[in-house]
Amino acid sequence: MPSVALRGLRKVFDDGTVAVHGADISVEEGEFLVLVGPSGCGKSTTLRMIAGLETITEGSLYIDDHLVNDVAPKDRNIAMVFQNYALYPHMSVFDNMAFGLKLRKVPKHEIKERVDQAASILGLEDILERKPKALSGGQRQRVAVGRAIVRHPRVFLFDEPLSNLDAKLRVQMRMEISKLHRKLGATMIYVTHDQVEAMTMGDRIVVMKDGYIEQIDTPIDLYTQPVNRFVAGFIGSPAMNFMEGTLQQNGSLTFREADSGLSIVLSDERKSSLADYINLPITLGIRPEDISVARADSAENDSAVIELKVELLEPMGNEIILHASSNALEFVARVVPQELPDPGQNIRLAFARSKFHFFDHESGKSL
Amino acid sequence: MKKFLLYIVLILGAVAFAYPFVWMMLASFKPELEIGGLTLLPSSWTLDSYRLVFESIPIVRAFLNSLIVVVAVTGSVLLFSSMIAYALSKLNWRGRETVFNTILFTMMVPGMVMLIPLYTLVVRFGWTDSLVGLIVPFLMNATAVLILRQSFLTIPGDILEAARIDGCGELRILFTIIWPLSIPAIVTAGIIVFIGNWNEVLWPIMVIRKEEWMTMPQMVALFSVGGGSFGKLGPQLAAAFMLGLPIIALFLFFQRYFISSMASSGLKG
Repeated sequence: MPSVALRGLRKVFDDGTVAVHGADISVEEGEFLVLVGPSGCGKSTTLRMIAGLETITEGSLYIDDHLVNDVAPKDRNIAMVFQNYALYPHMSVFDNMAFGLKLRKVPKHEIKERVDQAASILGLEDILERKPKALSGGQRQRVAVGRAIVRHPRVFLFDEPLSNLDAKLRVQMRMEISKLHRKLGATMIYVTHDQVEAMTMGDRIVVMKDGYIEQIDTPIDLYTQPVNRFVAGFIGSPAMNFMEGTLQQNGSLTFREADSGLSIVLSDERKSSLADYINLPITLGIRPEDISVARADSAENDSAVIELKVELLEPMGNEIILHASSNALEFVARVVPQELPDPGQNIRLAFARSKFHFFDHESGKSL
Repeated sequence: MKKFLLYIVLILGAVAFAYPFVWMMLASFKPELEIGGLTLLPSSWTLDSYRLVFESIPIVRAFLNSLIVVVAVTGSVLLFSSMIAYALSKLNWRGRETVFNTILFTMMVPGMVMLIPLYTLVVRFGWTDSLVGLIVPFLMNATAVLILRQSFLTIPGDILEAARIDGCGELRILFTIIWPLSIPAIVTAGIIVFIGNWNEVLWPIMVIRKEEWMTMPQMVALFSVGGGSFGKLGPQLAAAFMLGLPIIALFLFFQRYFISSMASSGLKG
């Protein structure tokens, strides 16, 4: 029995914009599901429909097998953490966390017990009497999480909870939320536009774009087997490199880049899957880490070696992000720290043939 | 130097506004003959003027009438106007803007235009010579709706949504979340309504004939111009001073909120 099930969930706003075109998602009990996508992709709207803060135009929403389309937010047994924390400014930290329990007429001693317990999990014991105004961003976010925990909800909803925090705090809170998930074992649905958050936190990830679900998969599968060009480009940082060109069969299977005429011989293994695309336009994709610096002497059978001009080097310490180009073509490679030619000079880069991704030029579908 | 000049101007302004009132207060304690004189302080303090007021009119009764009316009106205005303001600022419904514009439009209609229709209504309902006739027509107030709506608009929607998930209904959101966050605006609206209603003379004069239901400003006005004071200036001033006291007390008490609301009315958050 899925904990939360979306069946053809659709949202059309009053002005006619379709925010979500029929979402089908099953969230398993205890799962950490991340909704990710660029702004305006409908991920927040989907979450808000689950929360009951947006009406559902069409489709059904089940929480624990109960149809909850017309159930008020307070009766859905959910708790939500907002991007702007949404703490009640006139209440102390304790009252902020206790508010929902008071409204549910939970006995006083139990309220205190639950709040104290949440406070100790989140390290808020010393600031229970303070008002939100007197807290730092990280503390406020913790209180917002605490407010959700004390309710013991069936489902936790997070709406970009970390986007207002600075980078360091974000990493820390990310871990804390992951730990919390493991500790509570509760179902969590988490919305973010940050693919790093999505990859590191999610059991499964839903990638959305323009109101459509592009792919639902585990982080690794999403990364290694993107179903289309959008997912391939969205997941991973730096993003996957793409080349537009045509597939040709002259002796060996060759990809010919459209503008520069650059030719890349492909491995024979691909023949069967790409057979239908000979002489047709196609998109080739390769991840930055699958491009390496070619060794001068050795023959690179499993790689296509291309000579490019170095544009920019970004040393990260553990790796170097290398930007290289040839005519209109631009590539980003992630290489191990080493002596590299200065910008402006040429470099030979090896593209791992087995790591090529191919996408239909029109539909963007993975081949 | 610039500051010095500024203070001079401010002091002059303050004196200009405060002088008549201070003069009235002091003169009400002077013997009748001294009032026309140039001195500010009385040569001997006397309560004669006050005694005459209390002896000739039931001013305590009038004060209570006024208090009942003004408390009922202010309470009702704050209650209903905040509900309307909440619906206009935080709830989405068809026709919201039209309703808001209609409310704004009623503010443009001069009160005098409404006087006769309102009076006819009150007469038909049989509410003349009763406090009901003074209260019911003023149970709601467009200015208060406007002030409260503008203040409510600055409260982030996330907080209300969090409250909805926490288990609040709309009314509870209004009274446990919105009200505590809008105290300056509520105080401002309350004071404006209170003062406006407290000072109202024309409407009570139309609706109330019996002395027992008269409000304080009505009675003081009739006392001063209607011959009750036998043309003596002292009792008139004493009555007027007593009329002004509650307003001053109110303002002194709430001035902190009043000013903070006025000062921040142009700023968001």
